[in-house]
Amino acid sequence: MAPHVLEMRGITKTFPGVRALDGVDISVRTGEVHAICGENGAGKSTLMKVLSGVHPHGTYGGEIRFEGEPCEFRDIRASERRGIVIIHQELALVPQLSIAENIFLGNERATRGVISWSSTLVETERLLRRVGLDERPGTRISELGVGKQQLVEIAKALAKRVKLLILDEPTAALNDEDSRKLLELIGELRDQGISCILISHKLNEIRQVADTVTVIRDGRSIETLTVRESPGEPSRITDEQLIERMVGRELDRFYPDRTPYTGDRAGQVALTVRDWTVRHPVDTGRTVVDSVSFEVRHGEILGLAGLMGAGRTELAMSVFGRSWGRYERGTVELHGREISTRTVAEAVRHGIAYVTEDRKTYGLNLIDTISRNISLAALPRMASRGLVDAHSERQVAERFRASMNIKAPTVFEQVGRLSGGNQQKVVLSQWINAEPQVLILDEPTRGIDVGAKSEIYTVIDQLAARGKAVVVISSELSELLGICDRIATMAFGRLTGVLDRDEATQEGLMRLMTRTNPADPADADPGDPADPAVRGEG
Amino acid sequence: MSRARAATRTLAVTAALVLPLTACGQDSGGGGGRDADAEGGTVGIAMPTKSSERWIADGDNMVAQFEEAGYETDLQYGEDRVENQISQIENMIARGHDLLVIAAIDGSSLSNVLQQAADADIPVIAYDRLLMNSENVDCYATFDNSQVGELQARYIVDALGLEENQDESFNIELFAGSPDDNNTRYFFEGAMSVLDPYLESGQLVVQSGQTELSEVTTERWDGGTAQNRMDDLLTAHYRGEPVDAVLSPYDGISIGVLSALKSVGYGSGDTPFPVVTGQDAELASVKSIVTGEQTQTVYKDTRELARLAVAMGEALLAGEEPEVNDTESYDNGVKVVPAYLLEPVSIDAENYELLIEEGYYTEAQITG
Amino acid sequence: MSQATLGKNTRDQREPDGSGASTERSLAARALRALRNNMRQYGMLIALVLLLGLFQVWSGGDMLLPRNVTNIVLQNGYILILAIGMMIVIINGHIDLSVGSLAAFTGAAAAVMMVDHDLPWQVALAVSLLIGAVVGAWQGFWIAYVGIPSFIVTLAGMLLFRGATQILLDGQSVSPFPKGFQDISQGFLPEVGPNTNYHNLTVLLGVAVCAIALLQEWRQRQQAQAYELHVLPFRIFLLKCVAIVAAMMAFTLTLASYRGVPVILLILGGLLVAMGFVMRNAVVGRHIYALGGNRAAAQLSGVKDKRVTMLVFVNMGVLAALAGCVFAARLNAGTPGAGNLFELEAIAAAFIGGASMSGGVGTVLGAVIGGLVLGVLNNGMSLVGISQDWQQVIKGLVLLAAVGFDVWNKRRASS
Repeated sequence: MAPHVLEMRGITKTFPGVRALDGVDISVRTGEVHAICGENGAGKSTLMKVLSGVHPHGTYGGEIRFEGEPCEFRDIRASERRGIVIIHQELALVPQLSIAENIFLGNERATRGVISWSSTLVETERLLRRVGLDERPGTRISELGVGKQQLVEIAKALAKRVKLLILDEPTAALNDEDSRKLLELIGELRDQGISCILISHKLNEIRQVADTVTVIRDGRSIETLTVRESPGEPSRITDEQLIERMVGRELDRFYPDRTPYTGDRAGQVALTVRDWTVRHPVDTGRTVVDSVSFEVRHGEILGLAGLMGAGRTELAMSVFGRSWGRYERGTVELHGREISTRTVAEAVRHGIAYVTEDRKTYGLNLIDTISRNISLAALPRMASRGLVDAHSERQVAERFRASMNIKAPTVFEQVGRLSGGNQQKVVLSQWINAEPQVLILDEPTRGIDVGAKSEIYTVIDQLAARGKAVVVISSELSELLGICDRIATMAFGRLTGVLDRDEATQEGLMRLMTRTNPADPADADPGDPADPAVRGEG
Repeated sequence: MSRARAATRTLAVTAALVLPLTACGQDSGGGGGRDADAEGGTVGIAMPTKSSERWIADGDNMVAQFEEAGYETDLQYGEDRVENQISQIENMIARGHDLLVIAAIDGSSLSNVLQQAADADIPVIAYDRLLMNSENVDCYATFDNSQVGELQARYIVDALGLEENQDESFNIELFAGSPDDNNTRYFFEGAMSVLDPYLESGQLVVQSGQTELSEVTTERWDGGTAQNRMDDLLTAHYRGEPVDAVLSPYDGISIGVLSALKSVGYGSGDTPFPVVTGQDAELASVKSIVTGEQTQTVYKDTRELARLAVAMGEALLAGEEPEVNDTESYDNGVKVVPAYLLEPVSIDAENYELLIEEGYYTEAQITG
Repeated sequence: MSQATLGKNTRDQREPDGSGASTERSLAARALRALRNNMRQYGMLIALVLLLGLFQVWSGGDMLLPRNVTNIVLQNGYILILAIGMMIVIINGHIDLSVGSLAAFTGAAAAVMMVDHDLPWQVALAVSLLIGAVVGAWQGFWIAYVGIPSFIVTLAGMLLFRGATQILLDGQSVSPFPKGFQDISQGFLPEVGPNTNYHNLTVLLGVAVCAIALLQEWRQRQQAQAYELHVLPFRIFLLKCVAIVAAMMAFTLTLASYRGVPVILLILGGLLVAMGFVMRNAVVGRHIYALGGNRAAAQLSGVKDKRVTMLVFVNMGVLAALAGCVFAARLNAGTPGAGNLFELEAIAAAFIGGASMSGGVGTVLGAVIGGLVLGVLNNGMSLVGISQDWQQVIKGLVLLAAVGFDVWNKRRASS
């Protein structure tokens, strides 16, 4: 057995209030592809940040040995000098510069500060051949597709004399062809003696290319499995084995019992989305949401499950006033009547609300007060003749502060000073205050502590009990199983299944979420046999 | 607690500052009655800008001479912004100065503040630039501005020998000052009154055809702007034939024009510099005249102008009529302002020693 | 009364809120925090008072002469008008570099209409304001609907309208204006009633404004108590009221002992109250803050960002036109060089008065205070005879210090 190029022992990392990593062990042998898999938020990215020096030595516990020597990286440059290079999901290339300039950015071929272009170009050509990219060194990055950019990133890593290459979800944004090429390249690099850590959701990719896989869950390393002893062997493990280990968590007991809604509209369909198709706003060749149809009833909580890049947020935001992507086709109906949701204002007027997953960027005005944030979406209703009634605004804010248990001394506190959980309560308050019929909640409990999570589940349950139709997007399967009536799954832009609460299991959902090639889209929604092949461009 | 203290303090400060004032009524509020410390009174001097050597010299000269005569002075520069100058004059009135000497940034923008001065019985002398549209200007001390233009044009006519030699024709290009300066028009019209007959007879030819004031102005009297324009003229119209004369209203512009000429080979070999005029006898230009580049400049002894202003001021403060030599030419739109015109002097390589004799420059400054 | 308030606060504070404010120090801590949150504005108000005091002593009493106080108002009117508009633009997350040129253009247009075409001054003023609105809409269109950064659009406007002014005026000043137009900038309230040694109308107006201000303070306090919010202890509240009355009456009597309230002060007061009210209480004002604070979040909340941005620039255009007319009236001439660098003074006033480069922060009152700090500096330094070159150095340092103080203060508060 080859010696270990990397050994990480007992890695522990805590953020204020959260223990992100809790004694992770991982060993990578020289010249192997070592996959790491786990749910969103399991701690994979944190682990890689520790390894690459983004979290410097001293801010974490445990020991890292690289090529047998202990490492104490202070920053990324320190780890790169040792030959550890990480390629992030969001590519770190400068679009306005050429391939050659990007490859040697920060690592320029220069003597006394003057760049030697001849050696830069020669070296670039050699690296491009090595990664199999047929482009000239002078081509601008902005002229390349994402797949080729990924190859440039790898060439850039090679230029740094990489010994251990870390790829974080490298195929998340790639099409099948580019993905296949990339995986082949990883295999070739392994044959050249470069070790590789591959972080991936795509279980078939892991089975295809990895030698070893370590499963991480809740900040702990659960188990390391051998996929194959030597390159070319078929995989020894199955998706089921991985999924079991990824989710193998007991359902926590902090979900409220679902309170049924018994009002006039019980059982009535509130929102229907048909054949919804959206393209990427920049990379318009890519269909990000593909012929998705679903419906949600009054008093119902519909979960929307999917791995990163499945298109859930894109689906929600494009339905909500077309605030994401390029609309291709599809209709939205409210109570069976088609409505226009061209702009956010229209969507809001029709009683649709979307609570963003990224509250700091898209949800809150952090420099303003709690009360003004809560009233923002409902101002036209709360005002008379264009003037805001300061009394009622304050009263409303105070009501939400009490009912949502927002912990702040007054409603005039700046939202930016609140904790994540309390900020989330403010965003929820804002949209509940808008009195919508349909609420789409995107990752409503991301990044908040356990206590606040439980409170938010109760709020969601109460919303449904009052007759609202609620859609919850979440990456935590246990959460969806805990609060939803039905759960729809998405994978790669398509709806891959809808399960009732009783028939859904984590394993079953994970299987649907990782289905790379969904069967007949007819199983997406039995009520709407849409066939995108027959329908023309909307 | 600290809020309370802060409030108390604020209150105390406000009260301390304000209460003594509110005790007085409208009668004592005029401000004009305050006696100055010096026996003669205080003279407020408002100048356009410190960005030009000339106004600094004017201001310093007047301060020196008024103080010698026993007055206090308050000299302020407006940095070429009308609103600054208005505020400064208002402040001078508020402080109760006894006389105002104003070199206006924009002569037509001061009528309101001049009314305030009149209301406070403060006499006003217009210095170098006429104050327009106002009754309240007592007199005007200036050089004869149209004569400046005439001197420049006359010099060109003489240097090219146009009167004696009526068959030959010469190329000339025209430059004028900043479009927003009232004097620009005087200079240019003065010059054109001399040049026009020769342009009509064809003895002088403007190859570019640019003879209207609006075509030849130079934004902010800027030498760089003039150089760019001269470059373009040379490229477009003087590739085959030489330019023989350039009418420049100001030394800064002349320097720019000469740079452009030098860059295409004038002043070397068999292409001599054309006749280039100027104004203000700035040191750089005087040196340039001595070394044979610029041909001429117009010298206006600003110390003389300052002396004139001081004499007028003393007369006004003593309640006498100031001495004037022109009571007809300067109509500011409301009244004819009595003026004293000083004669400008044309300077070239022949008579530049005059500047040294007068003590305007030292020998070492010019030759050094 | 203060006891009761304290009791109510205590109840709120006892909730486990993590901020850990204990009952004993909550009042002092809150007063301090309120002060710190508004440090930029309080700080500038204090700076303004200190400046007045400094120059009062330095100039040997000339600073607060009734005539000079009136002068300060007259000298800064047009900058304050611009600063109000600029503050709103900056709160919205934009910038407007064209206001100086636009002011020059509208002032010139008014001048040409009155002098060359003999139109009544009211018509000239109205048409000028209309031109301002149209230009504002033009710039707003490029910024909001086409998506060109405001810096670029208004930089273009700065050149465009400066050139247009020179074309319109043919490089010459156009004057003089009818009396009515001049009075926008030079006029005062008429004198009525018996001779009291003070300007009667001014004193009446001052008393009325004082009464309204007190009433407003009292009503706010009542409301706050009704909503069980914390209020100032009664003694301090009383002190605050006395301070307000003293400051206002002092100002009023000072003006009244010269020529009374200038027309421009009425215009400014009206703008301050109206714009302040809109920014605080109107939906559109709220939307302006929200867009500046977090554009994406505001858009996702249904704020019509394009329309609001458009409106902000139309407002700026009208105010720039008003400032242009006020300036022309002050000069009694339309001149091609008018409005030069006004945009930078207005921007400086807004930042001294509490605006933030990233938008979302600031008040209309802050802009006026910032403008006054600059104005008092100008006036005071001119009074004591500091030359223009040094004045510019000092003003530059003051701007840097004001914003630097704010940055430092924020960093300290957040750590």
